[in-house]
Amino acid sequence: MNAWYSAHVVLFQTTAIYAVLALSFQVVLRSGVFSFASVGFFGIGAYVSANLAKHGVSGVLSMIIVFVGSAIFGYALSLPLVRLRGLYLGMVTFAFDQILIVVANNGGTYTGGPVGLFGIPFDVSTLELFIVAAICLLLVSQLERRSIGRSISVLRVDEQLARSMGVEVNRQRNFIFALSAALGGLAGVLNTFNFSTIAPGGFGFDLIVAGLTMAVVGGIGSWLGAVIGALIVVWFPQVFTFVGSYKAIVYGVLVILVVAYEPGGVLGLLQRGVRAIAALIEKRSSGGAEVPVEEKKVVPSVPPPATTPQKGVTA
Amino acid sequence: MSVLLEVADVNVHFGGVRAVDGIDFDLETGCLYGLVGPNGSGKSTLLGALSRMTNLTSGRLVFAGEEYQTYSPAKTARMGIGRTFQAVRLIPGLSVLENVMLGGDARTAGVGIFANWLLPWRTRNCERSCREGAMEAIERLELTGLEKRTAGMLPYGTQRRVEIARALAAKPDLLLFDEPTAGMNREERDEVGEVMRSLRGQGLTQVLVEHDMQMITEVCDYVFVMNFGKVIAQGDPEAVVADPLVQEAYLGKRGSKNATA
Repeated sequence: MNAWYSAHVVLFQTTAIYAVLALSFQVVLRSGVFSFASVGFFGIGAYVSANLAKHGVSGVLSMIIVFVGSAIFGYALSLPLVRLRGLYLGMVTFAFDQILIVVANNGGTYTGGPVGLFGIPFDVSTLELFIVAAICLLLVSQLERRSIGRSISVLRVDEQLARSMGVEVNRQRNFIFALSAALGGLAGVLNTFNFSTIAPGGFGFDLIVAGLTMAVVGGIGSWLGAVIGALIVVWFPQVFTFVGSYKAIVYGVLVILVVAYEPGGVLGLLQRGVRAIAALIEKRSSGGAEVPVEEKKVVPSVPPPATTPQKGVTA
Repeated sequence: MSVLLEVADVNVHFGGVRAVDGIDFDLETGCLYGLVGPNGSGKSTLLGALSRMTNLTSGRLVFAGEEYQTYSPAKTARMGIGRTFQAVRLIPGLSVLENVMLGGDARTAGVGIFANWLLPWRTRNCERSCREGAMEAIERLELTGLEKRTAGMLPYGTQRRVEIARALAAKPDLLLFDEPTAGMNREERDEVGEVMRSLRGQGLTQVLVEHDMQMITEVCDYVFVMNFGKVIAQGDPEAVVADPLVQEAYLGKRGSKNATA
């Protein structure tokens, strides 16, 4: 076990970092905001923290600086973008990522140009990575409870309805965008601290594909989906080594399959399975006697729904 | 009786089309108003204007003494103006209870995003009262027993009732119904009519956009008839229905068909 763990420790670390990035994607997608900006902020976080580390800024402080700074930058960026929808927002945020790569390539000593920065004097333990990831999970999971959870669900499905329910749609979108930026930035910091290197290639198109795959394949409905997605994307190439350099193709096919057949992602699939099993167990344990009683209890209190289907047709 | 909503010279023009053309009326607290008119007469646009979903070209809207024609739709909803939509608009993946509670959130959304997100102790009471309000609305629409069912899996008529329950859960002072019984059968319509009458008994002001004249005459206290963006007749339902001008507007199509035939 121990030998296996030390052989795979990099994968554990990557899982924690990717989980934070996946959360950054999941938060926006769950709100119906189609944005790739997470990867750009990943790059910003990575470079900023590398430069802060060079100047001897402590790890926790630089995480806080990047988290808050990315949130503010993300919020400012969302102000003009908040009116854009779907594909258009996707294109603009993709362009944002591309601009940052150009900046990284030409950033002189701050970014190390195309070679990037390496030997960044910082080290972070695997446990610390997981603590930070856990805090992020906690933050995002709180967005799925009570009224804010409901308001975000309605935001994705029907904006006008959200408005009629008293949700300030644009303000909520700005907030979500800022949070996603903060999480993306933080993932970049963790990446720099863990691997002590960052280059422009480290937050390019591949990372967008990986981030999108994690969020979509895992399931955009919940933070759990992001975790499942991170596990799949990080461990899949390790387990199925024969895929090798065709990794990106496999990710692409996975995304297509999920979007076409199970929009809830792996999480949705699991939830359906659990519900089906629970229903089965309930049937078994209640036996033959109790079921009709329960049904009888429901029927008299709601006569209309029982009769609606037929009448709906004739009406 | 006191005036709840004052609509003063409201215009909504889309390019050259005067969808709502100089509408002027006051709604009194606790009355049930009917809004009828042929297709395209501007009823839904007027409803959109009252709920601030549609921007006014000009005019003034005053609700409970507060001028609100510049407010956002969300703020208007939080102020106490609820509405339903012509088409069913539920969140299909959520349960009936969650869908109805969504209505109740209208009043707590003002707490602020941050408090809603990270300060559960600030929202605990809101959540409880929201749930209670939702259960009350569910009972009222005879949806008891279906709380945990996924909304999207329910029959059409039931979904429509969930929508009305959701609008009620917001505890509005003014409720705008945009053809709430479209696609329902007679029995279901009567039930909805009964719910509206009992709400009226509790002092809720309502506006009902409806094509079914029978329902209008049975349920409403006062009726406005619109055509080409203007109110062409108003008053007691029975009298309005008998008005030759209204009959011409409503049955004009049939009349002209006969004329050409």
